[in-house]
Amino acid sequence: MTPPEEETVLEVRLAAGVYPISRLITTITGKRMPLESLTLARDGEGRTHAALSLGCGEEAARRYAVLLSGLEDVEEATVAGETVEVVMASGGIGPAAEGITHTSCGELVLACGTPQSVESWLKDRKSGGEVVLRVGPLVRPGGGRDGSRIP
Amino acid sequence: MENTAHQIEYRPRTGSEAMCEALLDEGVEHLFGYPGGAIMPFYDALPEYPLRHVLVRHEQAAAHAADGYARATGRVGVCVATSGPGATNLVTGLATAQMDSVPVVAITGQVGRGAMGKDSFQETNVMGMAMPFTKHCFLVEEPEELYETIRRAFAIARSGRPGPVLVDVPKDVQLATCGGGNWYRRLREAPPPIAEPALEAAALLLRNARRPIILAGHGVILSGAERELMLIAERTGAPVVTTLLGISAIPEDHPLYIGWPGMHGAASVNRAIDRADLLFAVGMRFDDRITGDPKRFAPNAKVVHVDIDPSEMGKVIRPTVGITADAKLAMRGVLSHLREIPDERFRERARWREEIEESQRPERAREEEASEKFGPIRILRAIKRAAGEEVRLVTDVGQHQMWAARFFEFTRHNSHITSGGLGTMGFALPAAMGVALGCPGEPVWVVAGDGGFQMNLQELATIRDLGLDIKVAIMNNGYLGMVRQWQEFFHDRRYSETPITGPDYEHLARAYGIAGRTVREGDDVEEAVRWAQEQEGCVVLDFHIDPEANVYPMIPAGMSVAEMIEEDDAS
Repeated sequence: MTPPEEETVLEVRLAAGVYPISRLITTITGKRMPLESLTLARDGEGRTHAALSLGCGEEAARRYAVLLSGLEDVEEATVAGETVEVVMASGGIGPAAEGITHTSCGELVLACGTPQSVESWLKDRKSGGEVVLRVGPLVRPGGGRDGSRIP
Repeated sequence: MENTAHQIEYRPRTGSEAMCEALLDEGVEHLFGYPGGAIMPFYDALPEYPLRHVLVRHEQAAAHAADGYARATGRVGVCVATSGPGATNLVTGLATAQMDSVPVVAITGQVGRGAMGKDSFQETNVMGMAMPFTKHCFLVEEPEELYETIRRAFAIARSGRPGPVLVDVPKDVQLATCGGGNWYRRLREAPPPIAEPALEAAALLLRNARRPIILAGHGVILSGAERELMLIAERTGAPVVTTLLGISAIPEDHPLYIGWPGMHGAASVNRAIDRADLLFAVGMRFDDRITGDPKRFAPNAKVVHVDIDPSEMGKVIRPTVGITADAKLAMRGVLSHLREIPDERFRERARWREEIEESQRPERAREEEASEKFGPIRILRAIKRAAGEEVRLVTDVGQHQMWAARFFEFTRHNSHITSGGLGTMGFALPAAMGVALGCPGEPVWVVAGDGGFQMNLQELATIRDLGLDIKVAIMNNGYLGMVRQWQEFFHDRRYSETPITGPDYEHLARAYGIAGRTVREGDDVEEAVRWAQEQEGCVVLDFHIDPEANVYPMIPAGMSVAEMIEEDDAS
C-alpha cells in the first residue's frame, strides 16, 4: 500500500468501555474518514485514548476532530501537533538526529518528532529495535494521566 | 461550563416504574409502540401512569409517528419496541429522524443480562445496529441508572442539533428494584457565546451585497426563528428561498419568498442562486439535492453559513463566514450588528427582485395552465382551499412530494412535514398520526404515492381505532413514479420493476371502516376534496393521475443549473 501524501494525527479521549470505542469506529466508517491506523490505550482512570492517523491534511482532519467532538462519549478530539511518538523495544537510543527527541525507559526507547523526521530517523538507525507502538502525544502504553510525556 | 444538578426525591421502585416516571418527568403524554417479550415489564407498569400509549401495527410506524409528533410539536417524540425484530423494525424510522435532526427517544426491550451474547431468542445487538443511525444510544445494565439514563436521553435528543437517542433496557433490569443511590437531573447547558467578529462580518456582507439571497433550512423551524428570518429579510430586502425541510419557515405568500431550489426546485430560483453575490444560508447543510455539483453551486456568491452543528462548517461548501450557533441566536446577533442599508443598495436589490420575478412569470403561467387540468397541481390547490390556512400537510417520498413542495402554498409556520434527508417511503401515514395526536383539532392531510402508501397502510387500523381526523390523498399513477421518471430520462425508458399494482384503495379504506373514494379524470376534484374535508374522521381519496406525469424542472444528480432539464426541453 502506498503511504498517503498527507498524514495528520487526531488525538481522541473517550469515556471508558467498549461502546465508546465501537461508536468511534462506527463514526470513522460512516463518515468515511481516511483512516491509516488507529491506536488505542487506556489511561490511569480507565478512559480510552485513541490516536487516529488520517491520510488527509490538517484542515480536513480538524473538521473530523470537530465531528468526533460532537459524539456524546468523546471528551476531547484534537489534531495532534506535527509530532508523533514511537515506542521501540530495545535497540538503544542510537545517534542523535535532527528534530528527534528521545529517551529511554528501561528496555523501551521513546522517540518523538515530526512524522517525516521520525520516519527518517527510523530508517537511518543501524541499531535495530522493533517498533511496538506508533502514536501521537496523548496515547501512552499503560501510562497514567500524568504519564511520562516525552519532553 | 457548569452543570447544575438537582436531587430528585428517591423511593424504591422497579426499573419499569422508573422508566415510566422518567417519561412523566419529561412531560411525555404520548408514546407509540408495540409490546413483546423483552419489554413486557414496562408494558405491565404502563397502565398505572397517565401516559397515552398508541398501539401501532408495525414498529417502523411507531418511530415515524414519534418523528411526526416531534416535528409538529417541537417536543421529543417517544417510541417503544421489544428486542430483536421489534428493535430492528425501528431502525428506518430512527435513521429518518437522524437525517432530518428530529428529537426522538426510542426505548427497546432487551433479553435479560444473563441471556445476552448467547444468541438468545429475539436477541439482537441493538446498540451496534443503532449506532450509525442515532445521535446516541445506551444499554442500561444497572437498574439504578435507568431513570437518569432516560432523562439523559431526552436531554441529548433535544440539545444542540437534535436527533434520535435509543435506550436499550434488558428485561431483568426492568424487573429489578432500583435500590440505593440518588437520582439526579442535569439541566441543559447554556449555549456557548457566538463569536462577535463573525456576526459583524456576516452583517457587513449582508449590508454590502447587491444580489443577496437568504437560504433558510430546517434549523430555522427547529429553533423557532421564523420571526428573526423575516426581520433579516425585511431589513435587507433580500429574497428568501428555503430547503425542502425549510419550507414553511416563512409564509409562502410573503413578498420576499421566491421558492425553493435544488434538483426539483423552480428553475427561476436555481438561476437566481447561480447569479447571487451573497448566500446567507441558515440552519441548513448544503445537501446534495440542493447543491448538485457543489463546485458549481452559487459560483458568484460569498457564503455566510449559520448552523448549530460545527461539523457542518465546510463539509460541502467552504463558507466565507461560518457561524456555529442556533439559528435564532445567530440571526439576532446578525440583526444587532446590521447597520442601515444605503438607499442605493435597496434600489439595486429591488431591481434584483424584479429580475427574479420576471423569470418566474412563465413558470407561473405554466402552473396556472396545469392547475386547470386534472392532475397534481389541481388536487393540491383543492386541498389547500378545502382544508384552509391551518392545514398541516404530511407528504411521503417521490414525485408527489416534489409537487406538494412546489405547488401547495404553505402559509402556516411549520406546516410542511416530510422525510427529507433519508427520503423514507412509507413515512407519511404514520407520521401524520403523530402530527394529529400532537396537534389535536388541527386539519391534517397526507399526500402519498401509491408505492409509499402501501409500505405502511396497515396504520389505517391505528388511525381508525383512535378516530384520528386524517385525510389521505393518494396520487396513484401505478408506478414508482420518481424512479420511473429517472428511467425515462436516463435509462431509455426501460421501466424495470417500476410499474406497481395495488388494491382498490376505496374498498381497502372501507375494509378498515374508513370512508374512501376513487377520483378519476373527468370527476370533480374540488367536490371530492370538499366531501373528504366534511367527513368526520379519516378519509382516503384515491386520485388516478396521469401515469407518466413528470416533475419539472430537474437537475440531474451531481450536475448544475446549466444541465437543468425543463419541461420544454423534455417535450
